[in-house]
Amino acid sequence: MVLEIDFKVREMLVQKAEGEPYTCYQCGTCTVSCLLNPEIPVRKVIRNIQLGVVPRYSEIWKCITCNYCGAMCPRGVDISKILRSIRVMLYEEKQVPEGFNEILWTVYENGNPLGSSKRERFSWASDLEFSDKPEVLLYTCCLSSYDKRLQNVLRSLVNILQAAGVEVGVLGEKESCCGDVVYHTGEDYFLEEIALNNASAIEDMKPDVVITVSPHVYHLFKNVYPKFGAKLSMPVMHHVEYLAELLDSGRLKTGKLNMKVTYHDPCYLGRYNGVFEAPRSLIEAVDGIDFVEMEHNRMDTLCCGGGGGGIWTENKEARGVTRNRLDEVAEVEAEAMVTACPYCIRMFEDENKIMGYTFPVIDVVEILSQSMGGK
Amino acid sequence: MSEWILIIGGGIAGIQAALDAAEAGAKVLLVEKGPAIGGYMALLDKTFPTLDCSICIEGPKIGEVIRHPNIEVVTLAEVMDLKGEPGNFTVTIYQKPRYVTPDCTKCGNCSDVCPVTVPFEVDGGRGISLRKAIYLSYPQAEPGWYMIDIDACLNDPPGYMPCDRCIRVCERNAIDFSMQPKIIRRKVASVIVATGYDMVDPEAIPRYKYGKIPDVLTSYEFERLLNASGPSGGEVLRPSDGEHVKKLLLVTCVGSRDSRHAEYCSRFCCMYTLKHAIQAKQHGVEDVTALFMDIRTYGKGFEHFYKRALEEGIKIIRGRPSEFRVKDGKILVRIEDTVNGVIKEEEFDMAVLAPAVIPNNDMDRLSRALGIDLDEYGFIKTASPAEPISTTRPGVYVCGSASGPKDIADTVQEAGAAVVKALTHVGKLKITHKKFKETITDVEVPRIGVFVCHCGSNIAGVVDVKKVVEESRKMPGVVYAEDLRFACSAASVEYIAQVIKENNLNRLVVAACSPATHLTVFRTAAEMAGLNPFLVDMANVRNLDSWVHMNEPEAATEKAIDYVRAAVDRSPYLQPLKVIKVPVVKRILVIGGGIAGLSAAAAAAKAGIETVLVEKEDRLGGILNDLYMLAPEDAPAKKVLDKWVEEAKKAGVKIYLGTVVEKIEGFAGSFKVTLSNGETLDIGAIILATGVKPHKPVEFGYGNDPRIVTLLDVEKLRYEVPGDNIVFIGCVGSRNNGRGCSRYCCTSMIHQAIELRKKGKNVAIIYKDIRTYTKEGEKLYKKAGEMGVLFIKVNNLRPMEENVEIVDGSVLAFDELSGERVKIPADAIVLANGLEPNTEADYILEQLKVSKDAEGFLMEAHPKLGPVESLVPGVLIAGSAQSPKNVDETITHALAAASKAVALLSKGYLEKEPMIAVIDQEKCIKCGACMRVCPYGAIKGEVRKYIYVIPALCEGCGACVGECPINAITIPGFGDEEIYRMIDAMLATEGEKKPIVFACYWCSYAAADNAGIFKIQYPPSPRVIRVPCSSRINWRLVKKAFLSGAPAVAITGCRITESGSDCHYQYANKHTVRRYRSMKNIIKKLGIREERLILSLFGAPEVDKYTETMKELDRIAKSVSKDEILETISKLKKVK
Repeated sequence: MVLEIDFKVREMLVQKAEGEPYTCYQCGTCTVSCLLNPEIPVRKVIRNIQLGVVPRYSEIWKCITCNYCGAMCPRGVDISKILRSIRVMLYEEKQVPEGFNEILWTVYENGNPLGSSKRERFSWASDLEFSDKPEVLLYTCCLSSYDKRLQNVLRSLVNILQAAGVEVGVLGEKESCCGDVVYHTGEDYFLEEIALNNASAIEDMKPDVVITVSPHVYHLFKNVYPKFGAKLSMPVMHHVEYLAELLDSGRLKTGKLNMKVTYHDPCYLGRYNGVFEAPRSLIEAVDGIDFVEMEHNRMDTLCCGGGGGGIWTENKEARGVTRNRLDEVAEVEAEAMVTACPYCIRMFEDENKIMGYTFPVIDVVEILSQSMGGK
Repeated sequence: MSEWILIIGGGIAGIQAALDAAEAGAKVLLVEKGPAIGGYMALLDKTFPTLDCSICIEGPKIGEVIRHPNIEVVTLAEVMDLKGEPGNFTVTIYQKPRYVTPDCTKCGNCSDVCPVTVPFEVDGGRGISLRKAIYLSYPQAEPGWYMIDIDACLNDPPGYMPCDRCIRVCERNAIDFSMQPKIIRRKVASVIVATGYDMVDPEAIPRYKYGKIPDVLTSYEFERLLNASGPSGGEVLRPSDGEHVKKLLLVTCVGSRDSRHAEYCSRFCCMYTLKHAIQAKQHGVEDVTALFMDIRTYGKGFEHFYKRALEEGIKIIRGRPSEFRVKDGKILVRIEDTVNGVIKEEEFDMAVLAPAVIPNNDMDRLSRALGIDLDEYGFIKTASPAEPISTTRPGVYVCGSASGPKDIADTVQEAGAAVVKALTHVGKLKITHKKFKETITDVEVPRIGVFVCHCGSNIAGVVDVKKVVEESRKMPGVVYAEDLRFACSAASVEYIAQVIKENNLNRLVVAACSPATHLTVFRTAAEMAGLNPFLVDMANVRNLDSWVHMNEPEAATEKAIDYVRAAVDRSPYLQPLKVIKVPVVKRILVIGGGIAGLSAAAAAAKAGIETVLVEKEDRLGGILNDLYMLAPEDAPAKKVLDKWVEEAKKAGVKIYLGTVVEKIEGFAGSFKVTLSNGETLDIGAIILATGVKPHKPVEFGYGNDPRIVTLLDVEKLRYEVPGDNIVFIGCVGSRNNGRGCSRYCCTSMIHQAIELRKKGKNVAIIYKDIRTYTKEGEKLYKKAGEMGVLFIKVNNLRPMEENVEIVDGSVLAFDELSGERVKIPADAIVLANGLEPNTEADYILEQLKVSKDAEGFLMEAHPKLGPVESLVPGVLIAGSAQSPKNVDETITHALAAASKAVALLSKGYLEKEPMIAVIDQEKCIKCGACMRVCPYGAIKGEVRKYIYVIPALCEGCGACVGECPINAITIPGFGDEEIYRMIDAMLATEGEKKPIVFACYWCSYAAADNAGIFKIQYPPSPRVIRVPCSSRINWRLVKKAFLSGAPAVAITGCRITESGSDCHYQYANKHTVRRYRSMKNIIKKLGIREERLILSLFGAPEVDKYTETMKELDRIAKSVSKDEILETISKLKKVK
């Protein structure tokens, strides 16, 4: 069999991946860096594109998009862009594995991938008061809104913001899924529709700033929506960034909490967007905290296994990823694993129940809240 | 204009530059920030690709620097400021106090008592080994005295001085805590920056867990582990548990070619990693895996080294490791072999990382102090491709890794090139010699004075010095004997001179330490008294006696007496000699007018030596005339060529076009050259710049199809290649048929690919390994990828014709990275043709006796340290004639050749040690045996008619003396008679217990000295006789030793290595091995026990091999009875 090189096809495939495959010199660091077991043959996938072949590897759908491989790449190739471009290509060819299509329908019908009622999205906030002309618009994320455990993060966040004198608003019924799972399915037309709707709802409210509890939402708003003509006119911040600013300006006062903790950098907050110091500064601002770093941190952070749609599908290959990270928490003997992502909390908490470690998995906001006597 | 050149950095770059400049007659101020010169090279174990012992080949150069009358070395010093203009700079230097004075004798007592222990930076500084606060950086360190690391020392002078342990034990009072920092201001004409490099700290790349897993080492630490003087005595042991390593992983590109650390290639890691792999195998590691990205074995002889590594069973994988993990004490690594896509997880006992080479950590500060620019990576920026060793400030030059990673050979070339530039600013070139008036002329009847040194308690603590003095007085010819506490102190040297004068002594024997370090000191004493310095000898009773027999004072005393007696009995044979001066013609001939010849001629003429250039074509420039743009800098070839033509003309080079050399006769300093136009020229030195021929492909039907062109054709086409789809094929005529890498082609090919891509063409490159080893080259490679050039990787061991097939407008090749056979549309195919030796000048080579290497390129004197010298004195090589080079490298190489030629001629005479062969014409039977073994062609004549020595060519190894069947040739001081007297002197009492050891000066005697420095104890019975080279030893001497009753005899010398030997006389020791075999036959036939004669070859650091030999000799001696010795004597007496 001879593979005929078609320079035009090659150029087209490479451009879909924003040019990244051209930069790759095929050293293979990516493949052996893959956190999954078995690993995704990343190098071969990229080689396919370089030769002008659509890489029809079903393993692509197991990718948790942690971009650890991208962080290890000596040529600085943004591999996450390449891998997503392949999902788009495969979606166009209707080569989507079971499960993904169902989730798209669920998002389409319910505005969230859980299939929960739109009306209950803000049930967690029934006793809270919000401003109509807020300084800050809090965009909640589907998982946080419906998950009883994660609702505490939202409540704590609103309480802290309001205690600091910040006018907080929410979209209420107008809020819908950010489109993260749609993004990873490669259904870009649907994603475009979602992006435009969300952007216009947010713009209508005219907040000074949008804050998100999910790094996935944050990444989409900041880096993906603009590509679909839905760039937000106001700054988008993750809540740790906003809180760190409040801390710096003296509006946020932290309390005291005697606890040894470590911090897990969520992929989409850290590796993708470079937010490393804000969460650490918040944690370390709490009196009595004994902060320890895990072996893998910042750009080298590991993953909860929940990205790339993984949290919504049964992804057995990712389970080892989750467990490795929990082992690292245990290694540094932290009394709590602090992070800043609803996916991370959900994934780690679930796996931790099986592994039996005693430390809780909590959000940075919850550390602050507990230091002030809250939950 | 000042006469001084400032050289910053005392590594091999600075050392080479200092020697070249000083030899040319400039004064050199060599500033080193550490306590000793030598740099990394002094600490390496072996150098690639010859596996030479690193310190063995650098050590003599270090010694030369220290002793050179034109070189001043300032250690622990940093340059703070440089003001003024070329020719007249003022430099400000800050020198830190050493706290130890030159009175130090390296006895080591201070280190023993020092209470502070810190990790030894020489072994990587991670605690693999430790040192004290007062220490010596390595055993052969020069300047050779200790220093105090004041940051580690308990004292904080002058105010806080709680500890005085070192002061109390120093018998020389050499420790001085009152020393203050010094500011030195000097005028210099020009500056050479040779500050070397650092390596990236692998902790910056967490995935390798360096610093966390103890068995993950840097390549430098591994080098030290392999070294006999290193922390494990040369064994490959795991730092974690001391176990032998069975399975080893070597990882290249740790931070190199990595956009987050060092985007460029570090250039020498591929080679040393292959070297480490081979060495590991030799050290007993069973399983060695080495990971590469591209195999960059681009230098001369490197490709063969790669093949050899494969033959040795080393697993060479194109792939990268996963993050390291630990499992049951082993290092667990996943690796994808990218040429077959197989992913494996393996366990290793040890992993060695090759970290990226990065700028010296002081570079920022230094560049500001010097007012020079740095490049984007922080290395020194060089001015332009035509000026690869010029910085951005006139009069300031750079060589070696200060301007980017470079191996030793490339560094040495740059050092020479920088010197020839720096010399142009220097006022007057001359070598200063000490004044010496020979007043003691009556030397016929020996009047010998003996001085026995205590060296504090170093000698006197073991040897009964008084008894040695008493015994000396009884020896024939001795008229004066005395002991001195420190014979080498300035006061003692003056005292010895006074005693010589007062007692009219005409021979001097000093029993002290090693002649290698101290003979010059006592020669100075003789000169001060008006005595010829060649009438001085030493008995090494410290390194070879008191230090190594510490617990046997009586035996050590007896040995000291034997050594003194041997020196005394030899001394009448010493003759008052004079340094030989051979007059030279101050004119250089450059053969070849390509870019190499042009730049060499221009530089030589500019440095003030009349230069003649001969070019066979009617125009200058050679291949450069056909080139359009030079990669990787994208510089117009014409501009570079025009610049050098103009420089050559401006400098007054006499140019003969359309002319060839017809005949060359003579020798260094005095050649007679006849040109094709009938002219004859007197020439002092010749530079061969005969260039290369581009390979004219016989592959791929080149010549039959206009669509198939070469890189050179594309240059001629000014990159106007027709068609939309262009495919380049690499390595056509390179890396095949015994030929190595042609070096220039990868970069050139990529450069053309980019230019074609810019024109909107589809471009593919089919390659074996991408070898863009320069900083700019690697950037170009990345750019080509980003611009969409398609790279297809094919098998790197098979010839390209087997990898690639051309079928109607397309190219077929097996892409290893995808495992697919790919078909690429091709409207034009560009063959990256390599470079071949130019054979047109072969008749000149034959006349000059210049040899070629296996590939047909000109053979250099030494692949590392002599890259521009041929094996024939006075004949130098410039440019690609030596091996393929790109244009920058060619210019550098040519300038280095010019530098050597200028150094050779600038004094107006060649100077030589007078230890050269002398033929007794009456005895000589004109058999010609000596002619055949002389490594230098210094003995000329016709068999059975006449034989004579050309003093200018003789280097004094004594191979001829050893070979002469009738003892008609000798080297002063090393004739048969004097060595017989030494043997008798050493065996005078209880000779049947004392084996005789012949030791060559450069390696085995140096190892004996080092055994002393390490205080390694061995049996005292053997007696060592020093000779210049083991090739001096022959059956007569061995027979004499047995006849005088020696129980055993050992011949020791430098090692024989894969590609030659460590020998300092051009592999003369091959004769040693040959003769040894025939001697073995003789004693076997005579019925003498064979084991009583042994041959042992080892390098200077292989102290263990030396001491093993001593133990072996002692064992044999004990097994030999008096009767056996008598029997041997009677058997030998019967032989003619």
